[in-house]
Amino acid sequence: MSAPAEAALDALRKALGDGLQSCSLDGGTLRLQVASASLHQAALHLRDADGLRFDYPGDLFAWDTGERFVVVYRLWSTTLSQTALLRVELEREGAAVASVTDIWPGMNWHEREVYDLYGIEIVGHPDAGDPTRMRILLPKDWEGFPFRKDYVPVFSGDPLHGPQETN
Amino acid sequence: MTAMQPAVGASTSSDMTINLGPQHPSTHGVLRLMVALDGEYVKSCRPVIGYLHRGLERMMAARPYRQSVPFTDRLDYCASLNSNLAISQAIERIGGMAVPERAQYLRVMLCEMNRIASHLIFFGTYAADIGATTAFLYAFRERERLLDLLEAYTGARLTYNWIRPGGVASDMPEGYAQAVCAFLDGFLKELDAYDTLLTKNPIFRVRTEGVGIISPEKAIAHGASGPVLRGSGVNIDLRRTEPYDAYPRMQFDVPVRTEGDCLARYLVRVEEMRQSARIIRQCLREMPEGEHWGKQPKVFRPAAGEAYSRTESPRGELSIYLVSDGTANPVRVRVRGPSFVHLSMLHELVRGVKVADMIAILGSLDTVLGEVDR
Amino acid sequence: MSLPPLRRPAPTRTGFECDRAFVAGQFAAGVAVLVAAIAVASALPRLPWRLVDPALILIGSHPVINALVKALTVTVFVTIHVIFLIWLERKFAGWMQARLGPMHVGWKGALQTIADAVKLLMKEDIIPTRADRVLFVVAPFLTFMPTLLTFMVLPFSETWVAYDFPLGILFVLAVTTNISLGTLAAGWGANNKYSLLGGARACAQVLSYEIPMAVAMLAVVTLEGTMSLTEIVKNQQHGWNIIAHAPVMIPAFLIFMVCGLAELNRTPFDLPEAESELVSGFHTEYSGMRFAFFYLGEFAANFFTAGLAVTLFFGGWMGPWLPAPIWFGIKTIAVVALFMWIKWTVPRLRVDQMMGFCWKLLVPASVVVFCATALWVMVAQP
Repeated sequence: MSAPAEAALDALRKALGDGLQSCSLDGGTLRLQVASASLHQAALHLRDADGLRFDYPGDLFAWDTGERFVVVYRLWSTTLSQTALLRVELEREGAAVASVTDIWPGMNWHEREVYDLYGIEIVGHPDAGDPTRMRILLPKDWEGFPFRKDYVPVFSGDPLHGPQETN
Repeated sequence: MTAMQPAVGASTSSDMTINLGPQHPSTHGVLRLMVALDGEYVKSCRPVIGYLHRGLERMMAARPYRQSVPFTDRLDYCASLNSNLAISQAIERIGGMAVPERAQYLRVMLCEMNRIASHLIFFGTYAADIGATTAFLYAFRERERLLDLLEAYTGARLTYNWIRPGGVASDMPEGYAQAVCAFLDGFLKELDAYDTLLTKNPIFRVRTEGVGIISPEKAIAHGASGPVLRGSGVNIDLRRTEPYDAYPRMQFDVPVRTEGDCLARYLVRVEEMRQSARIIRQCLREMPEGEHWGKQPKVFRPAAGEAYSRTESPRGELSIYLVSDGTANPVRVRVRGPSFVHLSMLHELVRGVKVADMIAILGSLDTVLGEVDR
Repeated sequence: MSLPPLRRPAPTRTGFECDRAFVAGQFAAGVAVLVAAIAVASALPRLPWRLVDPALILIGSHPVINALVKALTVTVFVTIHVIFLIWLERKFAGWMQARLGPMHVGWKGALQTIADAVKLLMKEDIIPTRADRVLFVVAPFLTFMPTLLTFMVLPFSETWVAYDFPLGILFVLAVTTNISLGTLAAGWGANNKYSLLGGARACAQVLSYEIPMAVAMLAVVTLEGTMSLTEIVKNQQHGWNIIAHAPVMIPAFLIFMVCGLAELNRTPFDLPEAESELVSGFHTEYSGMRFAFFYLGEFAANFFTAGLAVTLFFGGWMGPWLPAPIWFGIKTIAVVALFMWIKWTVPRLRVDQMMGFCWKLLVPASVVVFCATALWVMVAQP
């Protein structure tokens, strides 16, 4: 990675302090793990710093390891053709993460989907706090978050408005 | 703004809220747009999606890796082979499988054939959105011929399940190369005629020129990809910038238009069909002899880790991210579809335009709801 | 073993059910409109028949019977010829779109339209619960009746004309304007948002394009010095208008054609029923026989506009060897085919472009053509 990139990463380390949990580079892909409190700052830095310039919101998704949620931001730089995987681990209880929609407008629907499927609160999202507007793939009155490992489908009696039994 | 002029997006008593869809001729699937209209003008638009949500990602995560390929057929059902390719690549990367060179060429050929079929659907439906019904039938005639060819090879017309981790399911039938070449000869001639029918039509031009302009900065910030991004003057094609399979060995041009309007996106797609034909010919010409299928483990248990693939589907960047914990089933399969991202831009593009323009803009984004809702 | 009898739940009011009294009322409304039309037709200033009138010979000179028979003949002709026109349109579209069109009912699908008509007749009569029932029911007749009335003055030959009205063109202009009333009523009465938008578009469009169309027709009137359609044809004995007076009549014809397309709501001016935007526009909520009336009116207007173009510019029934009405038919079908050709080729305009095209281009152009015709009459015709 180029010298400005190294400088930018050093600046990021300095700015985040303990917030930056790990930072490694393998084969042109920058892998970062940050504390959820530092996420927004890190994201802004990744987009704006010289040598990083991750201007393209590639993807945003989460998964449930059983103990905690992992949220991954896949970023890309259109000018420097490099990828960054920005990772945040969240405790299951009261999982919340800052919205990056103000940094990359393209993350808006991805964040809604993360809320929809995993119930991770997106703090600062334009639709935050209103589940009927945050729900995106599921009906707005759906109860529960079906991609969580502990999600138990229950038949609500109405096949159109509620989870169905799987077998 | 004075009290007499309500802000854009604010609701007044003169507004009319229309639900465009989920059953509507031009939403191309089960998309619902909640549109607030002031006369003919769109004041705000909120897409409602999820009518086709089947939880494909979760279903894929509940099975062994290689069984998830058929599910990808149901993502972008206009270009199933491209989705097959994306999941196959992701699985190959997480399991460290190699793909024989001949299979790489076969994959590229199949994907480009599917790209033409998909763009033909766009061509036809876009013409129908603008109001020209005849181009629609011409496009479907060509697509029919192409689907016959794909059926002759893969046995299916829509959900192929043919590109699989490690290669492709079988080699080409005998005489297939000649049949494809014969099709391409006729197709390119017909394409010029169809293109003339729309591109040289002044009404088509006034309907699309300067409508739904996406600036390059906006396209990048929203994560637009494929023809939408290239129509805005950003020269990014994953077949070029992050080439995979046999693409590094292919000679082709990446069509880019700087206007960023509906016409630019249309022209990029039409030109891409010509380039796809070029790639298919190269594949057929340069395809090496050999296996179509790489060596594969009987039981597929990749080591714990993550891998992803980024591919250029006809609609844009289709990438699949796999997370493995060392068991036979993945922890997470994530599908990032281009249509999902493009549809999220719609509400900004249509604010303040007329109803007819909204349809033109929606059509030019070429979304497929199977991929949006997953 | 026998199954227990099915116990059906008591029928509930769905809002989509057939109201017998209302059907009767709607029939009465239809009859009333028809009677009114006949009354208007017979109340037209009666003229001395200068020409031999087959109807007069056959049915005598009683004015009321005469008018009734003529009204009936025109109505039957309009209904029957539309069956043929729809088949023609579908075949034409099939030919343009590299497909066959209807093939199964009758020779090459010739009876398909009749099958469709029967199907439409037998369909459930649906009036949306929250529609304005009076407007909803009257609207199809309001769009169809003016078209029917215009056929009264269309000269198929020197004698085959129901009323050789000396102010024929004025009559046509006055009557066709009322079509927009019907489309507006349909759009408003259905209480459907798509219909409302479609109705509003239709009204704006028809009223706007009426103006250049009228001015283009007035150019012909200036040239011929008469408003009678038969007189206009007779004056073309020594050459069709479009050839004899080409410098002014070709632009006039083009303006007339464009406006005709707009009046007929055909592409590129099919905004009132823009399928990809407004589902079906003003007739979204219509089905069954009411929908058929819109369809009937549309195709009849198609034939009439083409016939008017032939009368004004292409020498009407004039032609060698063949009988006059056949010549008229051939020419009219040719113009109808031109309409179809345009319809199946071009896309649709946007609403502001449609209005701009009319007011910024067609209206000034038609005035220029009108003035040029006046000059042409002064200069070229001593």
